Amino acid sequence: MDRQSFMEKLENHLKPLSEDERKEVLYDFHEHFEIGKLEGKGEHDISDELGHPKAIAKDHLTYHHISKAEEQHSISNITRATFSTISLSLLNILFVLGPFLGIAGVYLGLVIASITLTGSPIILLIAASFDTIVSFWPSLFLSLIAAGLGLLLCIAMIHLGRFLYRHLVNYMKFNLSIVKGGRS
Amino acid sequence: MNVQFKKGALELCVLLLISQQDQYGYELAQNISKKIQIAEGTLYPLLRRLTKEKWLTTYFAESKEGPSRKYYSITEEGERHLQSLVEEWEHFSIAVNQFIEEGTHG
Repeated sequence: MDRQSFMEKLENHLKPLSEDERKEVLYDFHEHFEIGKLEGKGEHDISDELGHPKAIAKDHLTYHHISKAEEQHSISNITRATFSTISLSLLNILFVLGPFLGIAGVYLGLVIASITLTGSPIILLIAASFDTIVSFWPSLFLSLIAAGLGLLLCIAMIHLGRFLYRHLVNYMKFNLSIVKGGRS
Repeated sequence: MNVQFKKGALELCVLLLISQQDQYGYELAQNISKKIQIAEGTLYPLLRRLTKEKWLTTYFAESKEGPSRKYYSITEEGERHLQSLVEEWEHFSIAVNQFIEEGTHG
């Protein structure tokens, strides 16, 4: 394809990037076409040698998503990075999506458990307002103990969450390096 | 040539070439294409990643004919990383060659 089409397609596929990053990436290809032109190479030949804009953009985006997840901790970042890594190769569906879903499921279960435990005194009081509860006071004390345990579990979950996030990012970088070659 | 072989060795080749001589993207693409056929465009994401990891650094240099060019240069950390890649590669290729020897003569 000609230079204009190549650059337009590339720019289009790089939309997820910030404007600054996109400009930097496009600059490299602008320079490449300019030098090729100086050496007398035709636009179509240069474009053929460069390959498909979509594939090139995909490489850029995957690494971008992973490093963004690393710098800015958030659920949307890590999800995007996970799916971007997965799109690199089918094998990654097994090795990234599988563990990701499994761990996310367990983590979510523990978070729900900790919230439920913490809220148990309130649940008990609500139930008591509807109907008298046999051995109310012992139940209340037990629920307070449960709430205490729940709070501890909440704190543990926050720490575990940070730990898992960091390690998931590292695992994906590791996967990226296996697919792309070389260590990251 | 097998795509998987290429992917694994590309980072190594890029760092090797740049450690011997600073070069700009187009130059690097030409040098690699002489020996290995690749989609040259994928070198740029690789160069960008290697730069972000601080194994390469860049600078602009004027050129008599044409635009100023962005040169890539290897850093000290990059040299160390290259060393470990070379060692890994050497161990790996010795092992593969041994398998081939045993496979074809054993």
